Amino acid sequence: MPRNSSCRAFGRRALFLALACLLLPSAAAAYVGPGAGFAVLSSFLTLLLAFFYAFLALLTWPVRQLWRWRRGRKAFQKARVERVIIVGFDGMDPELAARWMRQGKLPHLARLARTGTFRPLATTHPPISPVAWSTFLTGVNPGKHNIYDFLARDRQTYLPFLSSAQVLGPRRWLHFGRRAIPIGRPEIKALRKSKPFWQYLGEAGIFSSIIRVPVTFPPEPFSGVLLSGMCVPDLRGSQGTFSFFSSREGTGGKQEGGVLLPLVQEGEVWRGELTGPENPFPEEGSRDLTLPLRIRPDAVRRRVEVEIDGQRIGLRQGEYSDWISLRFRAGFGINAQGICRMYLRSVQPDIELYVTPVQIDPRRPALPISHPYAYSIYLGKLHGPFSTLGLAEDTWALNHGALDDPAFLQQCYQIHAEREQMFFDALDKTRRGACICVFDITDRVQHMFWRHMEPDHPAAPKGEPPDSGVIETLYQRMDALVGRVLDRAGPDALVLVVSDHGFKSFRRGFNLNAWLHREGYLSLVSGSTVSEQWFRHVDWQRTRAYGMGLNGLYLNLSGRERHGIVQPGEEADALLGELREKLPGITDPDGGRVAIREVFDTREVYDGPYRENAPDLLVGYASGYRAAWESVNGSVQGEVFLDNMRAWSGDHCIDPHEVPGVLFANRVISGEDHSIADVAPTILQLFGLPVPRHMDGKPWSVRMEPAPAPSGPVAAAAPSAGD
Amino acid sequence: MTLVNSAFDFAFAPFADRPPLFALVVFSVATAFVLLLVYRFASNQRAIRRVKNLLQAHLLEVRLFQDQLGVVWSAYGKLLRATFSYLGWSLLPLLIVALPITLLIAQMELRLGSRPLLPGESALLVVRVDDPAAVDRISLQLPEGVVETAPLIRIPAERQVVARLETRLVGRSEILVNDGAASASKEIVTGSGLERISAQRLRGGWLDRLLGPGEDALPRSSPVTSITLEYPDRPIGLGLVGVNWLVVYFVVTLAAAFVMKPFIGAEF
Repeated sequence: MPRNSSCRAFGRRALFLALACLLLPSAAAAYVGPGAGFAVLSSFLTLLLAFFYAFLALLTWPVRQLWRWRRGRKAFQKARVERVIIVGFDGMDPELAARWMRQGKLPHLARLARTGTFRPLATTHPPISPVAWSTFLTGVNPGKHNIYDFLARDRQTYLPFLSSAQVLGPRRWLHFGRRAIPIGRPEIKALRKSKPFWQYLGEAGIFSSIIRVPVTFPPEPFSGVLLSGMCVPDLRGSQGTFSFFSSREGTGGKQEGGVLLPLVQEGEVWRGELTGPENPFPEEGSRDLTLPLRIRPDAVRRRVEVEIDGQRIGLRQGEYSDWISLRFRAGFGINAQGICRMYLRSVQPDIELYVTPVQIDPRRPALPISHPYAYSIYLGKLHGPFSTLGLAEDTWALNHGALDDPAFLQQCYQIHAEREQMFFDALDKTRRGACICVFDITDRVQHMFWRHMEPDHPAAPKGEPPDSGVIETLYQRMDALVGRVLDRAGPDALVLVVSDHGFKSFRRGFNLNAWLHREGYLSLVSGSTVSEQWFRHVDWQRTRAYGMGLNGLYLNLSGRERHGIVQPGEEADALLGELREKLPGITDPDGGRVAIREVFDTREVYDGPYRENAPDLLVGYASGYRAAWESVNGSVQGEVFLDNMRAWSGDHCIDPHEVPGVLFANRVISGEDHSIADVAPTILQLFGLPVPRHMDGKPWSVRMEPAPAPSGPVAAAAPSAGD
Repeated sequence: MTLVNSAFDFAFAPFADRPPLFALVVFSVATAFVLLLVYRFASNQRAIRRVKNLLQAHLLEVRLFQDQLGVVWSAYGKLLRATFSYLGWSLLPLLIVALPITLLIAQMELRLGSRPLLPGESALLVVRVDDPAAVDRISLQLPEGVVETAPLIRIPAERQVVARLETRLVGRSEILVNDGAASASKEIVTGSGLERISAQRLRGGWLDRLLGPGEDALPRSSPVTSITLEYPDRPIGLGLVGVNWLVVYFVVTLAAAFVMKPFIGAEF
C-alpha cells in the first residue's frame, strides 16, 4: 500500500510538472518545444488556411456575384424549383416495384406513387446502362452521344475497346539507356459526346452535385462537384481485375475479370505476389508491378495474418478487411497508390484469399476521378477510402466462384453504404441546385441473384435452399433510402427516382455468332471449326456479318471495316433486310419459345452525327433470353442456344420494350410515354433554362404544388405487374 | 542537477570544438526521432489520423463549396471543432515529452544561448537583493584574471548592484559576492568553445532551478536573489543572418520529424 501511494504521489507530481511545463506562460513563451510544435503548428496552419480561405471567399464573393451578373447568369430567376434531387437506381424494375408496393413492402415508394408519380420509363436501344445513362445525362439518343454498348469495335482490327473513355500513356518519354521515364500524365480521352445537362445548369450559375452517374469518366469541368462512376478503371487500367490466391495445387491463370494466383509454402508462411499496375518503365520488361504478400494461417482459429506493403492485416474466415492502402513502387520515385479489400474465403483445407481489384485511391488519385480534382480527396478524407472502380461490385468474382453468394452480397452492401454516405453529404451541401446520385447495387444484385427467385433457372443454386428474398430485401432497403431522402429533401424540393432499365430473367443464351456461322454469314479460316475470342479464326474475306457486344450486329461493310466485303447501298440494304427477316421469331428448340422479338435497324432508331459508329442492327431478345456469353466476346463456337449456367442470371440487354425503367416523383407528372431522354430537358426547364434544340427528350409537365394524398390503394398508380 | 549537467557535458563533449550549428542539428534530429517514437507509441494514432483527415476535408470543403456561404460557415465550425479535437489527441504525448524536452532545452540554452567571454572582453555583472539597504553591503571578490573596469554602481531604488568586469585568462573561475554576513559565488567562463555557461544564478524555487540548472541555487537565507553575468548572445549563423538557436532547433526538429515520419510510421 505505501508503495502504491508513493507511486501515485510520484505520478501526480510528474503530471503536475508536465502540465506546468506546458501551461506556465513563462515557460511556454521561452520554450516552445517541438512536441508542442507538432500540434500547435498543425492546428495553427489549419486555422490560418481556413481563415485565409474564409477571407478570400468573403472578399471575392461580391466580385464573383458581379461577374455572374455581368455574364447574364441570372440563376434561379425563372426557376420553378430550387432544388432537384435525383436518386438513380440502376436496373430497378417497375413490375417488381409494383408487386412489392402492392404487398405493402415498399411504403416510401408507394407514398410517391400515391401522392406523386409512378410510371414505367422508356429506356434506350439497347437497354444497357452506359447507353441509357448517357441518354439520361445528355437528353439525346445514342446517335448523338456515341455510346452504344460497354464496348465499341475498332474497324481496322475488329478488336473491342471501351466505348466511353480511352486512357493513353504519356506522350513523351525520357530515355536513359535501357530505361524510359514517362514525362507527364497519362492522357484520358472522353469518347462520350454531347453535353450533360448539369453543364447547362452550371453555365447559368446553378450548382450541381453529381455522384457516380455512369459514363462520367473522365470528369469534365463544370460548376459543381462530380465523382465519376461506371467506366472508371482500376489501377491496372482494366474495368476490374480481382486476384484470387489459393494454396491449392495447380492454381494459376487468368479468368475473365480476374487472375488466379498460387501461394507457395515456406515453413509456416505462404507467399504470393499481388499484381498491380503496368510497369511504367517498359524497357525493363513488360512485367507488372507487384507487391509480395505473406500469409500466416491459424487453422484452429480460422484466421490468417496477411503481411503486405509493411502492413499486417488480421482476417477471420468469411470476413472482409477494411480498405488497405498499397503503394506499388516503380523506381525513380514513381509510385502508384491504390486501395483494395481482402476477403478470407477459407483457411482449410486450402487457403483461399480473394483480393478486390486494386482501385484508384480517392485520396491520392492516380487518374482524375472527380471534378474538381480535389473532390475525391475531400470525400476520401471525410469518409475514409471508398470504392472508386466503375463496376465496383465484383460480379466476375462471383461468376467464377472466387466469391460466394453471401460474400458478394456483403461486398455490394459495403459499397452501397459508402455511396449513401457520399450522397447524403452531397445532399447537405447542395441546398440549391441539382443533386444526383446513381446506386448500382440494384443492377448488380439482380444480375447475380435472379436465379434465387426461379427454382427452375438453369443456374439456380444446387444442393442448397435458394435465398428467394435477396432481391425483395434489396428493394426494401432502397425504399428505406428513398424514405430518408424524402425526409431530408423538405417539402419544396423535387425528388425523382429513376432507373435506366428494368430486369428480366436470363435463362438461355442465343449464340449470335454461331448462328451467323451456321447460316453462312460468318466464315472461319480453312481448317477451323471454331474461333477463339475476338474473331481470332474468322475469315474476314468471306464474312458478311458479325456480332459483337450485347446486342450489336455489324455488317462487314466495304470501305468501313478493314476487310469489308459487303458493298454499301443495295447489297448492304438487302443483307440487313434478310437478317431482320430471319432473326425475329427464331424459336428455341428447348421449349419452342421465341428467342428474338425484334431486330432494330439503327438507321431507324438513331439520329445524329455519330450514328455511323453504331452497330447496323440491334437484336431485341425476348424475355428469358440474351446474347450468349460465347458470342458477346466475339468467339464462334458451341450451340446456337445454350443454357446460362452462370451466377449472372438476370439481365436487361433485350428488347427495350420488355425492360422499361421506373419513374417515381414526389410531384404529379402528367402525360404519357415518359422516356429517360426526357429527364435532362425537364430539369433544364424546371430551372427556367431553355431546352437546347438538339435534345431529343421532351420536358414533362410537372405540377410543382404538392398534391393532396389520395386514399386509394397503390395499385391504382402502378403499372400492371407481372406476378 | 549536477548529475544532469555532467550527463549533458558528456553528450556535448564531441561537439566542443565544432561549430554550434553542428551540435544543434544533431540534437534537433535526435529530438525529432524520440518525439516521433513517443507519438507513435503513446498517442492514439488512429484518432489523430482520422482527425487530421477531417481537418483536411473541411479545408477542402471551404474551397469546393466557396459559393455557398452556409456550407462555408458550417465548415469553419467543423474546422474549429476538429482543431480542438486534434489538440486533445495530442495532449498525452505532449504531457509525456514536456518534462524531458524542457530539461533538454534548458541544457541546450546553457550551451547555445550565449558564448563565453573572450579574453579582454568585458561584461556586466548584476547582483539583485531583497532589501534596498543590502545594496550598500555588497562587495566583490574577483579571481585571478578578472578585473573591474569601473567602480561598482549601487542602485538602491532598483535593489541592484552593477559591476563591469573584464577577463584576461581563459578558463572557468568564480566571483565571490559578499553581502556582509555571507558570500555567494558566480561562475565566469572565458574561452571560445561550446562551453556550458550559466548566465544567472538564482535563489528561486524548483521551477527556477529547472529552467536555470547551470549552477546551484543561492541559499534561501541570502539577501541576494540573483547574480547575472551578461554574456554575449550566440546567434546561429545562417549565411548572412544570425538567429536564436531555439528558432533553428524548432525548424530542424519539425523538418526532421516530417522526413522521418513515414519510416517510423508516426502521425502527428
